[in-house]
This record gives sequence, C-alpha cells and structure tokens, in this order.
Amino acid sequence: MSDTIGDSWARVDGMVKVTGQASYTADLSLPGMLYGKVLGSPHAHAKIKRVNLEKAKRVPGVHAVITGKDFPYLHGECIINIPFLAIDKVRYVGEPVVAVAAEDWTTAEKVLELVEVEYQELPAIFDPEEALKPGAPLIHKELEKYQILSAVKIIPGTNICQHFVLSLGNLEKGFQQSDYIFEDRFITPQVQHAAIEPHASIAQVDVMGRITVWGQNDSPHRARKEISQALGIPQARVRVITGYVGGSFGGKGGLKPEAVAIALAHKVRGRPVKVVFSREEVFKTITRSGCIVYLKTGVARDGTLLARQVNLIWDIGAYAEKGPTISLHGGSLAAGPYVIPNVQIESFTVFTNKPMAGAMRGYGLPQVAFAYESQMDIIAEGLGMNPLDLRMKNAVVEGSKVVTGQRLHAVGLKECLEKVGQELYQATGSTPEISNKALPYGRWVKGKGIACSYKSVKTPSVSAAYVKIDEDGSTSIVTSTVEVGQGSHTILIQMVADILGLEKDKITVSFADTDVTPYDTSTTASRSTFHMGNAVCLAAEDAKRQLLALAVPLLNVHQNALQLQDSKVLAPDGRSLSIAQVLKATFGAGAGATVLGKGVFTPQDILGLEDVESTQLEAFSALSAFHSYAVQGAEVAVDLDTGVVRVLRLIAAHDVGKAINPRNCRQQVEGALGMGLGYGLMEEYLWEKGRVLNPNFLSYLVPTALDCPLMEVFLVEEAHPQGPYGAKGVGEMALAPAAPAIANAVYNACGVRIRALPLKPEKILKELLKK
Amino acid sequence: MEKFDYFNPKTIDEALSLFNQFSKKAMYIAGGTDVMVMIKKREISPTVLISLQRIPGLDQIEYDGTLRIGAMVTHRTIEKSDLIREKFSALADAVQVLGSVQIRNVATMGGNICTAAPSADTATPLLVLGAQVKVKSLKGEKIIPLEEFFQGPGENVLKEEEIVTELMIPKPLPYTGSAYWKHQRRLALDLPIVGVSVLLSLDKNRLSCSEMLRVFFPISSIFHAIERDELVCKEVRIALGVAAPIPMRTVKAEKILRGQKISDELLDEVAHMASEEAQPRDSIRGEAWYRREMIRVFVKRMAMKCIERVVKPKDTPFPVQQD
Repeated sequence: MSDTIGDSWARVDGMVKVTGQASYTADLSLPGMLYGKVLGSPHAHAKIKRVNLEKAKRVPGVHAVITGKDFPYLHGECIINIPFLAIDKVRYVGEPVVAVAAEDWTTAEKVLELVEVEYQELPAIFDPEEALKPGAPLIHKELEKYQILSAVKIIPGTNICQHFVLSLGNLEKGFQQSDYIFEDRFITPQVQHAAIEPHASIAQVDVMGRITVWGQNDSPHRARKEISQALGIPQARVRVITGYVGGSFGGKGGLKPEAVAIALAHKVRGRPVKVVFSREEVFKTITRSGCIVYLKTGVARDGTLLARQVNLIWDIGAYAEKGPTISLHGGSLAAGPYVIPNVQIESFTVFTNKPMAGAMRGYGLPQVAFAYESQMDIIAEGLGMNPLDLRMKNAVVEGSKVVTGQRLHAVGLKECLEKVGQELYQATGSTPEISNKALPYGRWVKGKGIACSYKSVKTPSVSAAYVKIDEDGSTSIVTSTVEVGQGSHTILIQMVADILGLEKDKITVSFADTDVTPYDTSTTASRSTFHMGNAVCLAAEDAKRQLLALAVPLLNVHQNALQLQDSKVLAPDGRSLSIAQVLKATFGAGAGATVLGKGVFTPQDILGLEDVESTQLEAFSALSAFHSYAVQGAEVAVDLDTGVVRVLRLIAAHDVGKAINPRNCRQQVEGALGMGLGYGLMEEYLWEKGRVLNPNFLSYLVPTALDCPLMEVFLVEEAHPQGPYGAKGVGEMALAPAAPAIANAVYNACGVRIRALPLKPEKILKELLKK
Repeated sequence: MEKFDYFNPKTIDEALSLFNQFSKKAMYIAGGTDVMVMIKKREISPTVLISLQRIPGLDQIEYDGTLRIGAMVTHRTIEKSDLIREKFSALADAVQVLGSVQIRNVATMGGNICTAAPSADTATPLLVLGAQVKVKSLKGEKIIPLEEFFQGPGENVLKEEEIVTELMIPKPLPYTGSAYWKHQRRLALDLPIVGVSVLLSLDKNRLSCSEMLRVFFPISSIFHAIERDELVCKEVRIALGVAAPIPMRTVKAEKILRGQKISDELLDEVAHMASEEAQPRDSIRGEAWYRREMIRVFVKRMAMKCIERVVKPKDTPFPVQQD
C-alpha cells in the first residue's frame, strides 16, 4: 500500500466532531458529580489578610469551600511555585483564591458571592523592563527556595526566572568587520490561544487516595508527573485521561482547571468535581508571553550577515509555568535561519503581575521571528537590496552551523524561498483587485512582503506506543498522543495501514490514559509526527514480525519471504492466509487472540552535534532532533486615509520532510496563516493595572473567514533521515512567518514600519499623518 | 444564571398588563441577543421575562408611502428586503454588518433600538432616514421621533410598561440616496470603531459622472464632473455612532451642505464639521483622535456613496462591505 503514505485521507475524527457527537470534557457527567467554581483575585499583587467562608459554607447544596491553606501544595513544570489556590498572597488579577464545590453551577456561583476576602494591596509591576530594575518589587521573594528544573537558571533576589547567554564566534570582531550596523527594538504583545473549547477538568479522589483526572490535557503523562511531584505521591496514585479536545495550541498543558478540580476533589469524599472555565477565566489562565527584542546586526556591503546580537526580555507573568523553557527554545532561534559567524543571544525571562504566559504554537518563535524578519527588510532597504535576495544570500543550507553549535541537516529553506519568491514576485495575473464594492473610495496602495523562519523541536523527548492486532485483524494504536485537532490520529493510522497492509477502517487510535497508554512526553512542539510516528512505526513493525512468525509454521515458508497485504499473509507461491486465519490457527478457534507490538522512540544520535561545546549540550530543547523550515509571503493593501490593512494573498512554502497526509499539512498551514494574520493585525491583550480589558471574543478579535485571504500552500519535502518516511513537523513553525511578512508588506505598500505588533490602523495612520 | 419566569403573551395588552403586574422585576425580551447576554453576565437579574415573540403582527414590514417596520422584524428580514435595499439603503448597509447571520436571524429592529447602545448599527441609519418610534402603553399610543428616544448609553425614553411596536420611516424625497459605514477592525462580528450614516437628497439624477463611478475613477475627477453639473444638495442628514454617549445627528455639518452646490471642498468642510461636532472618547476599540479622523474620512466617503446611489441606483453594488 505504497499510496497510503502521502495520500490525503479524510480525518478519522472529522465526522464525529462536525456532527456534534464528540463529547468534550464540559459535556461529561459522572454519578454524584459536583460542580466547582473559583473566585479570582481582584488585585494584581496583594496580601490575603482575611478570608471569611462562614456564610458561604452555610448555603444548602455546598460541599466544600476552600482556600489555598486547605490544600497547601505547589506545582509547576519549570519551577514548582504555582499554588493550587493562592496561599497568603495573590500575584495576578484572576488568580484563584477560593474554590467551591456544589450540587449545581448556580449554587456554586451564589456561594462565591458570599465569600468575604480582605486584601492588602502590594506594589505591582507590569512592565518587564521595570521588573528587571534593581529595587523593583519582588513577585517571588525567595525564588531560589523552590524546586527548579536543571535547565532553568534563576537569578536570586530578582524577578528573573531564567537567564542565559548563547554565543558563537566573536561578536566584537564581527561588528568590527561589518560595513553597516543596524539596531532596532521590537515588541510583541501577550496574545490568547483562543481554542474554541474552554478549559475543563473533572477530578475524583477515591477512598484509597488515588486521583483520577478526566479532561483535555495535551500531555497526560507530564500532568501525572506534575501532580505526583506536587503532592509527593508516586505516579501510580494518579491517573490522567484525555478525551476529545477542542483545540489546544499549547494552552492545555500543565495544571489549570485540573488544579482547582483536584484541590476540591480532596475535600468531597470521593465525589467527582467538574470545573469548566468561562471564556473570561480562560483569558486569565494562560497567554503567549509578550517579548521585547533588541536586535543589533552587522552586515557587509554585499549583504553578508557578519554579526548579530540579540537581547530578549520575556514577560512571563506571575508564575514560571513553561516560561523559562519557552525563552530558551525561542531564544535559541532568535538569530534566524541565517548563516551568521558571530552571534550572541542573551535572554531574561521576567515575572510581572499578569496572568501566566505559557506555551503557544511556536514556543517563543513567533516573538523572535517578528523581530529578525522585520529587521531583514530594514537591512535590505538600507543596502538597496531586494528582500528576497538578501535572504537567499544568507539562508542556512545543509551543514550550516547555528548559534547553539549544532549543524543543520535536511534543510529545505532555499527551496521554500524560491517557491514563495516566484509565486509572490514573478507569477502574474493572480493578484486580487481591491474592488469598488469592497471598500468605496479608499486610497489603496499595495505592497508585498516575505518572511522566513526555522524551528527546533523539544529535545530530548520520548514517545512509546503499542500496536495490537486482534482476532479478526482489527488493529488498535495505543498511544498517549492527544488529537488536539492537528490530525495526528489520522496520520498514525496511515503509517500503521502502510506497514501492516490493512484497510483504514480496521485501525483505531486510543485516547490517552496514563493507566493504559505508554509514555509520551507531550503533544507539543510539533514533535508528534516525528517522535510518536517513529514509535508507532516501530510498534507496527514489531507486531508485523510477530504475526509473520506465527504464519511460518502454517505456510511452511521462511519468515523473510512472507508479506502482509490486504489483511492477508502472502507466501511467494501465491498461497495466503488472512490475519484472522493465522491467529485462529495459532490460538485456537473461539479463544480470541492478540499480537502486541511495542515501540519506544527517543532520538539517539541527534544529527549535527559534532561541534557543539559541552557547556551548551544541556540547553534544553535548543539542540534539536530536527529543524523545520518555512517561508511565507503576503500581499496587502493599505488605505492611506484610514490605516486599514487588507491582506489580499498569503503564500506559504513549508519544508515538512515528508507530507504523510498533504491535505492535513495544508490545513495546518492554513490555520496557522489565519492565526498569524491575527497576530499581525489585530490580536493583543489590553491591560489596565494588570486587569485584562478584553477577556472575551467581542473585544479580543481573532480573524474571521472574511478577513482571511486566498491562501496558497506549497509543501517542500526535504526528507529527514531519522523521520518516519522522512517526516518532520509542521504545526508550530507555520505560525511564525505570517506576521512579519504582513508587516514587511505594509512597509512595502506605504513606507510605514511598525515595530510593535499588532499593526492596528491607529498605529499606521499615526505614522502616515507624520509624513 | 438566576432563575426567572417566562411569559408568552398573545396580545400587546396582555404583555402590558403582565409588565404592570410584576413591575420592577419584569423585563420584555424580543430576540434576546442582548437581554440573555446581560442576564448570563449577571448585569441584570429580572425574575420575570415577558417575550414579545408570540404577539401576531409585530413582525411585518409595510409600505404605504410610509415604511412601517414592526418592532419584532428581524435584521435578517430587513437584509432580504428589496424595498429597503433600494429606497432605504443605509438601513440595508447596517443589517449586513450587524453581528452574524445567526444573530441577525433572531435579533430584532425594536430590540436593537431599545438596548440603546451608542454603537447600535441600525440607530444611525434610522436617524438619517427620519425614523419615528410608535410606543404603546396601557394609557394608549404615542409617537416619538427617534432623536428623542435615546437618553444615554443603554438608556431609552421608555417608561414603565411601554412597548415599542413599530418604527415608521417617511418616504424619501426624489433623488435620495443613503449609506452607512461601519468602521470596524475586522470584517465581521465586530462592534464599530465609529458608525457613519449619511442621507443626501439631490436636485437631479442625470450626471456626467455616472460612468466614472462605475469604473471607479480617482475621486478628484469625479468631483470635477459633479461641480460642472452644478449638483445641488436639497436635503442632508448625517448621523454618527460611537461618537457620543448616544447615536447623534451632526446638525451644524448638515447646515453647511443643505441647499448648496456640492463640491470637493464643501464636502471636506462638512466632514470636518461633523468630526468637530462628535464627542468621541478613548476606549479599547479606538482612540478618540482616530475616531474623529475616521468620522472625517467616512462622512465624505458616505456622501459620495449617496451620490453614487442616486446616479445609478440599479448598479449600486451590495453588499457594500463584503465581497
């Protein structure tokens, strides 16, 4: 079935989801289930002086009303410093302070109105550059006392929860050699994942103290670890089950509603507690961090990049969550996909009194890509070069060394640049017109922009899977990879169908359940196709070997001569046995049967590490099992009277290694282009003293279908020697280049360079009016 | 969400008596796209909701020289009406960009007005079209000009059990065009940064610029033709949304144009005056200076749109804002 791989199968989970039959966590109900709600802090930074729960506890139908003191544990991925409910102090507006479990939602809401909390406000800090200054109020006083992941280097006595420097070559020498030096400062705002399904979780603690969590966690094994670490219990005492997920984009990892549900579940004697966040609560739960990027780049007259210094300040909000590893991962990519002999990247990850910033599609990449790709166009203009030529001249190629010291392999960047360059600048006749009816009497000017980017993957990480073949040849893939809408279940089935020679409707994929499905680090980082794909392929090969071995005595043929095809074992002489026949003959009729294949994958022999200095080897996620490459181009129109930007065209070329399912890859890229357009033009948290002013979809705008233009997606396949069928990753990478491509197109159209996202009409018009 | 009792009266009188019976605890509900949202957000907590859905006759559109729109007519019905598209274009513009199709299927004309949001999409078109509001109470019936209806953000002039039953719009003068522009940050499902409605009545509809409008000439050459034709503005009304606590008319700007020959410079002056009359504020949706600037831009553009609609009413492309 060689056409299985590379064929655009329809999503296996599509019908169930579009017909509304899929039950998401908020839809689930368990016998005796209670409903949990939280009361959030009204202050950005305050001491909790007194909490009075007396009135609240007397309401009929209430089973538990608790504060952080009733469940005084801390959890966290990078730094274990996040309370399940605030203890003594609140650090952002919306931080859960009191939680209630009641018979129904209305009672729970009413109870919270009766809770009295007295606060003493503390000086709060919202600007990460202010938070860096000596004497700034400390958001975590004794940071060094927490349990901290080894890749995280805090600076005690400051608000800095991660500091690192990566360097290559000699920066000073590089600047001395340069003919021109460009210096810029770029800013990206906090944005929201905006997954259509809000966070939800159900937790139950049985009489033996064993915790079960049902929900939508994108990394159930990691959540299990986080819970067991927090409570000091073995992982065996915790079970995490993930069902249908309505979008994650990185926002559904860690413990969010899970923390509240678990805390409440401990107080209600075995009854399950369901917590469903409102949209407003989701906005206060997790964001993508804002980042300030200082870029100083030295270039030769001919456009050769000679030196680049990057200083990064990440606004990570009130708790570390994944912030320190995001900054390390994104920071390591901050010089861009270019051959630069002298590079230094210094990064500070800083606490502020805002909601936590965590992983979001790109893991730090969109922030830095906006900066370096905007500056590439500034440099091109300064040198009088074409932006495409400047990129082609400096783009990384096979064997290029980047700042981490790693050499890159399977590099499809130039091919992507050529493809987008050709479609954007050379192909004629495809440019859509701004029609009279679209916007009457606008003073439109058009422009084109391009941007490229590369991305590493969380490394090291582990994926394990079972493939089990049952009685009639029906096969289950037992995996902890979570189908968050990215299409992973479909492509895993394609791989197994290819290896076992099975029809697609004979193969199913499990939901993740830490009691049952083997370990997988996470469904993040665009790692699943590569890692879980490899694990599932290993498991399928293992199952195939076992099955063929069973057929050897039945067909009396050497195992190597047997083939699996169309659910049959084929001998070279044309004889065949169905899988069912083989199993029946082996195990006996009526006994049932299973062949259990297993696969464990972790990237061994990571390519390109030969020159990496040992001091940088511990740089978590910076040294990468593979890199993905993407180039995106935008054509825009800007109305000179209003500053309004209309994106007319988005073109994308992505090096995915091998497209297991090309339509699925295109869908990933199209979705990311829409998200990137939102990042570029309209999305941002608006703040007033740490309070989110737009915590809803009425005021926080994501693009609608009407805002999204014609999207043209091209797939480049620079096979990775270690990827399953050569495949790499696509989902996260795809988000990064759109926003800078649009910003560059806006500059090309009207000469306005916006260095702070989003490109709101006000900002553009203000600059236009200055001219 | 608090519990409430829900009544479905079959006549207006029954609805009025019900309201009177429960008084302050009661609230009328039309399409529910505002009321239910406010209840769920706990901004209001009526214990009695009186639905106007089942009262016959409130969902009709009639035209007998005066356009009569029943209070329960949905925005989707307005959107699909050829009559409104041809003769009351500004209103048609508004309902194409109001909420989403799903919202327009249930949201009503009466409800949008009664909510009295400064950003209400239908408010400024109705103002320039000269709408009046028919109100019924236990005491009888009265008619209020829409300009006197809005009292503040979310506040209308209605008292006690009063119900809006109908919006009445007079027949436009000959050679009249109207247009509404919702300046928004994305192309659907948004609230306006500003809303601008203009209505122009002209002295003729045969102009040498008609072909230029079709092929979208530069604005300066269009004005050259308009000035040569000595086009006179017989009547003008301009209304702004999100420019003040209530949807407002810009009377001074209108006065500059009324009875005058239309020219590029004069329209600039009118647009400038309109932006001066506005009292916009800074909000998360837009800064005051930008709102003022956009009023200037779109008053002129909508005046142009009005002329275009008079000159070539059949060709006028709809929808205006969406491809």
